[in-house]
Amino acid sequence: MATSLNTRLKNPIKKGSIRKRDKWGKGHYGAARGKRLHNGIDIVAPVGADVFSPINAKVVRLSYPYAKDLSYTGLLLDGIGIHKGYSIKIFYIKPLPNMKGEILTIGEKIGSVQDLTIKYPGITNHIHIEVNLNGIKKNPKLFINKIY
Amino acid sequence: MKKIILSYLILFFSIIAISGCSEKNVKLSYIVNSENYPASMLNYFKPPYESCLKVYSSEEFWIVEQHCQNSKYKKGIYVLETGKIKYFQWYDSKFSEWANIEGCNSNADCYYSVNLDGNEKIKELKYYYHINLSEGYYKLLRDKDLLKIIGNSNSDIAS
Repeated sequence: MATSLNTRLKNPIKKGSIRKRDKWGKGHYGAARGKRLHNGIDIVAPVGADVFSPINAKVVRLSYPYAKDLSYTGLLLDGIGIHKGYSIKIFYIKPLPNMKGEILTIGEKIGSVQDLTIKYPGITNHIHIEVNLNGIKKNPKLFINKIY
Repeated sequence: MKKIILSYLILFFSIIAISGCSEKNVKLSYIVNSENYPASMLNYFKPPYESCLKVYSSEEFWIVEQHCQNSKYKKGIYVLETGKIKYFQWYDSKFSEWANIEGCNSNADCYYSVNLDGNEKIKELKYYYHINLSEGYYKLLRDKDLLKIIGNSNSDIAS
């Protein structure tokens, strides 16, 4: 089980904090999303800010949060080494070029934050992160060392 | 005159009631484990099963989405009804590819419902999905060898 202190996750955003309420909702795990619940956390970040890998990982592929709007993108990371067992999706980032298959060290830059206000006027710009540990969805906040 | 009108009304409502009773709606759920695939599937799809095969089933019906091209099966949708298998091309190949690659948020978040006519043949299918931050459905009319989109809905949820 990858849960000891040295296998914890790094905040992908420098001094990133959980998104507070705006007209589109709140960013904590389990926040209301219409009839559903938020299955990740939103970490506030300005457009263009650097995004870092939260784990030692292999980049599985680019990931697209929306079926019909491929302008928003993300990455799917599979944990390696001490982070084996983690599978992480991060959305609303523009990944660095040719990321598929790359081996990442925790804290390595993986991309930059996209502008969500184009699609959702009034929203606080953020990244969305989902964490699966051994195939089970988890609250990412419980695993990230420093989240403000 | 009143008796005639009354007779027509009774006849009208009887027809509606009978036709309504003969139609059926069936939900087909995603089958996670290939060990639980319907036995009748073995006549058409032989193990070992690839991960690109997605199977949805009720007691009597099953739908197989074949997402990878191989020598045995074309990409597309296979439907079993009244003991026969029927092949359909993707109704929206870009969407199907995206849905397959990204995967449903949970096993219960993607499923089919089918409307059957009085002969237990599928008239319409509806595919529901909740994948990443999109949710919606495709409503499909069976038109000979095609699945025609007759309705769809997609919501992009702000994370």
